[in-house]
Amino acid sequence: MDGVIISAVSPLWRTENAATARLSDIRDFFRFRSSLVEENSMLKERVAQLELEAASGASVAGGENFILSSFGRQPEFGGIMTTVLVSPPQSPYDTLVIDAGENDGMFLGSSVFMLEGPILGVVSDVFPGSSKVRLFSAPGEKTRALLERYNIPVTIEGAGGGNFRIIVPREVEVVVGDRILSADIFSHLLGVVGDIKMEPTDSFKEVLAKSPANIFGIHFLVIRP
Amino acid sequence: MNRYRIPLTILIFLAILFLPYWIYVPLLFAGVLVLPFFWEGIFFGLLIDTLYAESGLLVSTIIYSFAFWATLILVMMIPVRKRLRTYA
Repeated sequence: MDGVIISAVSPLWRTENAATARLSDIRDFFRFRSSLVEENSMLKERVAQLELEAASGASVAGGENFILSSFGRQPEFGGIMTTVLVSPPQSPYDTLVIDAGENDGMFLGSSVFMLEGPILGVVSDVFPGSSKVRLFSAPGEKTRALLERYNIPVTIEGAGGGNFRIIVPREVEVVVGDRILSADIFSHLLGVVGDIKMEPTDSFKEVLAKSPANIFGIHFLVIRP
Repeated sequence: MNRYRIPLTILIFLAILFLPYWIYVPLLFAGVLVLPFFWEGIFFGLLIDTLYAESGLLVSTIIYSFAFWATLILVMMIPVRKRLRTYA
């Protein structure tokens, strides 16, 4: 029944996404020139920054892929590209509805990635023309991960809204900005440490992290089995 | 009050499909609280759970579902409404 209802509603969501994109074009037509100039310069600066990050990431990724292939592990390429039909805050459960389903080669349990590489969740339900994705940040969702600083294995717990909570012993060194990676061999980016809470009398500290993706505005994803 | 029932029902349905949860959830529970025996609220709770929650509802997780809370509040409101003086 889930599949029937979602199949019936999916065309409405696709129409909404198309209409929203068209309305934003019309809105841009009326913006003042000065704000557009300012935005243009900001975006150029951002593009330059991203090109630099991509260049440094590409060289590291190239080295990693060589090492993986040398030891019999194939680096990850390809996947199924999908668009997001529904994301938070329309969904109250930290789930996404995407427009690829069984007919497009989707499998239950497939990993879901951003185009830039970070991993977001897994496919939890598959229907003929669409699927549901459960984000790792869904409340109560527990995922094994690594704190990059000293490769410390941790269990991150979803706190909703793209946020995570990790409990570590107080002696573990964690700094705001530290990366949290997936526990598999490919070490995908899972989150970034945003805050650390600890009382002087506590034996543990609470690390609050956030997803690298803005889950409220994702449009494209890559799914890999 | 019954003359608002159909427009509110349509509004909640469209809000569930297109608007953020912080709009349709308060609307839904306002409908359950204000309108007499708003059974459509249970249907909308089920719709929210079907569209946005994972399938395979377990007894341990039912307490987190909108259908459960809509039903619970609807049932709780039955004796409360009898004791409230309304001019609806």
